[in-house]
Amino acid sequence: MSNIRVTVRRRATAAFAQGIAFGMGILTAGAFGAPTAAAQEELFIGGALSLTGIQAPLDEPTLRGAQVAVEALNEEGGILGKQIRFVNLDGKSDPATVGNVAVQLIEQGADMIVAPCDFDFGGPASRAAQNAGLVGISTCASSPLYGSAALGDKQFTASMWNTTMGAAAAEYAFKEKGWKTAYVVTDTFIDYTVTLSRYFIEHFENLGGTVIREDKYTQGAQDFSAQLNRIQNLDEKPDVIFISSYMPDLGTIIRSIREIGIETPIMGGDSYDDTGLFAALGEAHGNDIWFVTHTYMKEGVAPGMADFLEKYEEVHGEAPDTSFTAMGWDTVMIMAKAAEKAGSTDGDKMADAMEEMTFDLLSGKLDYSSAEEGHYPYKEGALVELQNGETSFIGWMKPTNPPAP
Amino acid sequence: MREILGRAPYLNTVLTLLVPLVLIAAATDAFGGTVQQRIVTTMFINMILVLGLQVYMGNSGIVSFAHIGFMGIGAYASAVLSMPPDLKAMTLRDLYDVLQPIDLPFWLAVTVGAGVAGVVAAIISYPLMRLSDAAAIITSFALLVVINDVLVHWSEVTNGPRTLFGVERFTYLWTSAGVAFAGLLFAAWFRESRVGLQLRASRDDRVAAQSCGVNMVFVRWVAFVLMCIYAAIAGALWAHFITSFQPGHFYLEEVFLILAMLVIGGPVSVSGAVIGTILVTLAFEGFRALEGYLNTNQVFGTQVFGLTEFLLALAMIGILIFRPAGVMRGRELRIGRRHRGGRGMPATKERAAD
Repeated sequence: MSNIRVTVRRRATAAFAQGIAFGMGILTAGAFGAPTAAAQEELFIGGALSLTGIQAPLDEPTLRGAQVAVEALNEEGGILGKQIRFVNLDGKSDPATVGNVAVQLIEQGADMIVAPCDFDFGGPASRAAQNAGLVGISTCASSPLYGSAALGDKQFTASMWNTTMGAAAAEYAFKEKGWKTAYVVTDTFIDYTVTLSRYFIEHFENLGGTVIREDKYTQGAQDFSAQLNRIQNLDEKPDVIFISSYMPDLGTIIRSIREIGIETPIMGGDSYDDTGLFAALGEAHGNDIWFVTHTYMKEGVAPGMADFLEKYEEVHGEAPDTSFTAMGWDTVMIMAKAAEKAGSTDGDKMADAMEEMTFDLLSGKLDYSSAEEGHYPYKEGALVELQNGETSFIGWMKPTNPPAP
Repeated sequence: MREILGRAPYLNTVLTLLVPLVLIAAATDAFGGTVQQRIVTTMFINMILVLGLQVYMGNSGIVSFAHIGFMGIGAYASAVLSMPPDLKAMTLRDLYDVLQPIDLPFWLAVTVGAGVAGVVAAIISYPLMRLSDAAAIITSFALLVVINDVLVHWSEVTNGPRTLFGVERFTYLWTSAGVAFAGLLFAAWFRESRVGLQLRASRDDRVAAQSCGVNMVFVRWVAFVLMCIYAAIAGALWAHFITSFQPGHFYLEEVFLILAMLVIGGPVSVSGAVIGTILVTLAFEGFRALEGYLNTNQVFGTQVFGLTEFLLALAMIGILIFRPAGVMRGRELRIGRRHRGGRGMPATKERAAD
């Protein structure tokens, strides 16, 4: 009896010892195996973009665009005479993972960080960059929190803020279309969805329009019937329904509205700019939808677009499917131009350069305010129309006196 | 005196486990880079959660999902109470005026967070403790869902489903390691304490234990509240480590990870909780490194996703098939000769809970 006990104990201790040895192995390998020397001859851009999960439909195209930009820059000699090495580690649409991945990239010697396309998901990457004194740029986060006030004086977003995006939608609806009443549906999911509605409502009311009601929805609920019921039973039919939500539920919401025969125009922000949504709506339901996004994938929309379309096709073998690809390109180009102007990849110098410069991008002109003013990105929104499941470009829209963040 | 300190061998177990744990922490501190430090810090935070789960689940034999909800309560309570007012104004626009100016020091905020979770747990859980078997498991799951729903919809305090940011970093390697060590000592003591022994007796034979005068509802309740306090402390440490988070973190994925750690290690012993945490952390990081290697080198010509979670789930199935009582099979690690019989109660032969 006692023999058996001894064996079990010994075996357990041995297993434990093996575990410890394995652990030490991993720890020491990590400590001594980290590449430090290689980082000197090349410029290392780290990306924490999510390739899986809810954020993937936005982040994955920006990654493709960024890769095209890196190849194009490397062909012309790189940045500051150094070849660019771009490594993206999957942030998995989990803020904690995004932060960890960014820390890992910085430890491997990243000089700047490309953060995911959203404040809630991308913020942790920028916080890691800020802690390490590096510039971090989100490809397309449009929450007004994405700036120096909430994240630090070296953090930027390549997107316009929702103050611009929401106001542009409101101005187009009220001035161009003459819609006077709006019904708003807000997904409380992330800061992007909440603030987009907030600034749409504020600007629409400033212009003289009436918001009948702001209804709430939470991503993942999968049941839109209560909200749908309220829309159906309105005494006064709205001229436009503004829906600020996110894929995949956005598709379900619009479909369920159209399926019961409500043909009221629908408006929204850049989360609509997703081929997945157009496919989900199809020809039958993809009608009378307008949204404000970053740019449009057609020659002549912005200077350099033809060049981008050509290079993109060279690298990926197909035409870009959404304007988010351009945001990846723009983010890398902002980094390249700022580093050239600053003459270094030092975070402070690059941030100073970015505050002074004006960027000419695929998504229009971009000007940042100072860190004290929050790194407000002065930009225009691109208006896109969806009819019969096909998109077309309406034009650029810069709202007059957009609301303050 | 022995009544308070419990039976002696647990100190041996604690010391046997502490030596390698201190070594891991010290080695990471001395040689590890930022990434290793973060991994080990997280491992110790998870260890607190697993130890807490062991206190209840291991000793009572009832699986619980609810503790991760209390991790959330601890995280939000301590974060909101310790956040500087100017940051609060930015991240929580609709916070109640009473809470707005409160700016507690870190340890006080952790204590209050744990206290809040403890009180909530004490009130909610008492009636649930009469339930056993499937009913108890289902209600603990329901409790997790309820807490998550509250966290998601109580926008004034939690910022709804969105990120709560602006939490200051206070938790470093030795903070989480120190608390985990204290948690280990307490869990090992509790197992041998009067209440712990009664709880284990009620796990092994409910009817016999009650006929001997064990107040099953009370002893379960004590362990449940203790588990929730463990979870809340871990949540508070985690909040001040990760500095921005949302309610989605305190849900099924985390439940699965912590449960996997305990089940793989062996839920019945404290050693099982510790070993399970270390093994799963190693496996998790190993798989993650493998996934990263496969993807950077394009081994399969395409990107591989979700390998980590997939392999972890496989490992759990494997353990449950080949070693259903976990790696430790319900035993405690001890150095030296077995505790001599004749003193105190004889060591009971432990089997896996259920």
